[in-house]
Amino acid sequence: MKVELITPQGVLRQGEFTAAVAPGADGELGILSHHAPMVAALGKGVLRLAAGAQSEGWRLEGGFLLVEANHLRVIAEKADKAG
Amino acid sequence: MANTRAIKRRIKSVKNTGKITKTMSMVATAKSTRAIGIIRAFRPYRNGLLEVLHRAAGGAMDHPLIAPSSVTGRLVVLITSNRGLCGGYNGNLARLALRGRRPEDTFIAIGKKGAATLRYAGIKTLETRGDFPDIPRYERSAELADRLIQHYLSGNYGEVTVVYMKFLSAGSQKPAQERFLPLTSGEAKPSAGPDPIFAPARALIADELIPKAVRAAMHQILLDAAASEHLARQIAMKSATDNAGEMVRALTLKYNRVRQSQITTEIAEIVGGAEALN
Repeated sequence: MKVELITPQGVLRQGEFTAAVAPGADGELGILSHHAPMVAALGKGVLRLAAGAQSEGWRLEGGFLLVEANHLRVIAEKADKAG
Repeated sequence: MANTRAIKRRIKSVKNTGKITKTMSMVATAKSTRAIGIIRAFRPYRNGLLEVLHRAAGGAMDHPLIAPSSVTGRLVVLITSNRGLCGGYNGNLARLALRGRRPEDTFIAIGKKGAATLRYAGIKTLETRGDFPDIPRYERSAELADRLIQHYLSGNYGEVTVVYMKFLSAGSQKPAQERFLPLTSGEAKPSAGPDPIFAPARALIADELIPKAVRAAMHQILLDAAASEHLARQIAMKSATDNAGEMVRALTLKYNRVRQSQITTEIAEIVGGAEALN
């Protein structure tokens, strides 16, 4: 699926990933390719993006997540790379 | 007859002014380019939030920042620049704010120029801020938006409007007075297809979302204002530079005329003197 990490400063990260784990407001949300359309509020935590064996993390402090047509958008006021 | 030295001094001074205005124009060009770049980079964030808002607004939204208020007081936020030399930029904004003024209005001035105009017109302001950066930063915009939300929720004002220079394109900006709060939820278009999954529930997402949408709207306004300001300054300083060049040309012409007629007079005197000796 296509993933975009969007902040007020611009699109920080964009790419193809197979799985994402987002810090939902009520607990972690796992999203795989072809997930059903979804709108979620995020809490404080780390967003993990994985493509095969590669994975990366982004620290978020709240935000939103929008899934639609195999396209995941994570919209956050702030995001920092967390290895 | 004007003396050549005075003209020469004047040419030099106009040339120096031209150099300064040229530099200012170049600085303004760099800043407007940067501001426009930031506007572009900000667009995906704003669109993303609006989309979440539209999805979440499928059901009627009931939020204090969206519901219309019955209070009559109005808070007007006038956004101008901190510095002048930008043509009609500040004047146009102040004129729009004063023309649309109602007796129940209370003013907040962002930018020193607007604050000075209001003071001069004898209008009291609730707050004036002259410390906003040339290129807006999201955190500062968010802080201002939160402050306006506080004012609005205090119940003293039924509406918050913003007067600012709307950035339409690099060639076109226009002064606008727009409602800021209560938030216009946009065209709440019914979402196409089946409802998405909401986590947490729709209403809770809206509670999270609306303040963020207000902050994003304020950032957009300040970015528009900044890009417009730098463009206005760029154009004003460009024409000042052109005028300085024009003036130098006219003065140089005058200088040469005076110099030549001086030489002619001197020759005539010498020839006259030599004649007299014969």
